[in-house]
Amino acid sequence: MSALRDESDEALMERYQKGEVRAFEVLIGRHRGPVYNFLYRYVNNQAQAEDLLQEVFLRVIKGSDAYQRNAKFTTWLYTIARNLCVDAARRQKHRRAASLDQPIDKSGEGDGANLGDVIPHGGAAVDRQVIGKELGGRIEQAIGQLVEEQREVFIMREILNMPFKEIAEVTKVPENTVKSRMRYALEKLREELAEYADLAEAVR
Amino acid sequence: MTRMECTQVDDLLMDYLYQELAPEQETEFRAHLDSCDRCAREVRELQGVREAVRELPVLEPPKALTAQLLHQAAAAKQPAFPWLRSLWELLQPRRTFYAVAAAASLVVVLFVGYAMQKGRFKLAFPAEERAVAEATTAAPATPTAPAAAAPARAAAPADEAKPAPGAKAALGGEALDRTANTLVETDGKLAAGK
Repeated sequence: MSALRDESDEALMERYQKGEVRAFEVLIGRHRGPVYNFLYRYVNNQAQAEDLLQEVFLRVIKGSDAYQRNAKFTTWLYTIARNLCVDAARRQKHRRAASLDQPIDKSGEGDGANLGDVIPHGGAAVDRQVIGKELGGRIEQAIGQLVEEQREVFIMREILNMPFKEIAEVTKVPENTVKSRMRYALEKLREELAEYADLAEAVR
Repeated sequence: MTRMECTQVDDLLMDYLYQELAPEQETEFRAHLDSCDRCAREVRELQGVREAVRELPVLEPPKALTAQLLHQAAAAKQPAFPWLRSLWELLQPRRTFYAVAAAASLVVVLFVGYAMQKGRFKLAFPAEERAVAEATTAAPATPTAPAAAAPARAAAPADEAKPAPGAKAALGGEALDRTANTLVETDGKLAAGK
């Protein structure tokens, strides 16, 4: 089993093509987490991300016979994932506008309380965990508010650590376009998080 | 060393931030930051955004999803009978999948045993062969055809069993043992001598 784990994605796909299901198991183990995080950060909906995750790998299974070893597996994988997200987002255009008003709140606590409520008057000790949670929610919301073409580049670069060249192949735009979209995304987030910047410094 | 201008630094900002600059370019880039507050601040602020984003939790998909996917992955490579495949397509955990696969294999083995009992495969004795051939060509698909072969095989060696349909499970194994060495390929379903 350790031998399989050392194999490249491309070699594992070749093995699966020949019927070795165990090789596909290693592939899923390796990529399910990152793909899920990509999907979740893209659509901001847990149930939908889970459905899409299934769909992504089902398409990999169905397309496994046609897969060419010289193609980078992750480029193919994330092209599938990204296309599914684009389709899903297109269908959900109306719902998306409404959901942006609500801060994405996984912890289930609070309804987006202001920092002013949290910090006692007089500037007493600031609770790091609370700031962290607030900041996290704010970041998630800000990412969700990026325009799609910036959001997808941002997620691939920051969450997946994908090189710009590969992002360009997945999104089918020039590398320079990818870099400027990334720049816009970072600057937009900086804007959104400006009020938290000082506090983040304070709790460091 | 050529001095980098702010515009150049601006163009290469993303490459620098994500460590995609060539070593010499990176040296020049840093040199510019050392002497330019504006660019240095831009880099620092965007780095700050990156650090904040890095604090986001890494999410774990539910384990059940993986089990279902493995099920599908295996099914896609299995040459299963259509009716068996739709059974397998029911969402099952992996344990159950292998149990069902084992049960299906057992059913196939028993069916083969039964079929051999009923004379679908050539037997070693010529007399039996002819009787079986006549019986099966008469009505090959119906269960009564093999039964019709039974009287013809009455003259066969006494140790040959005459199975009733209900007893096929019990006798299947027996028939397999006896005919294993004499089994000859008929309609290509089984190879000889195995």
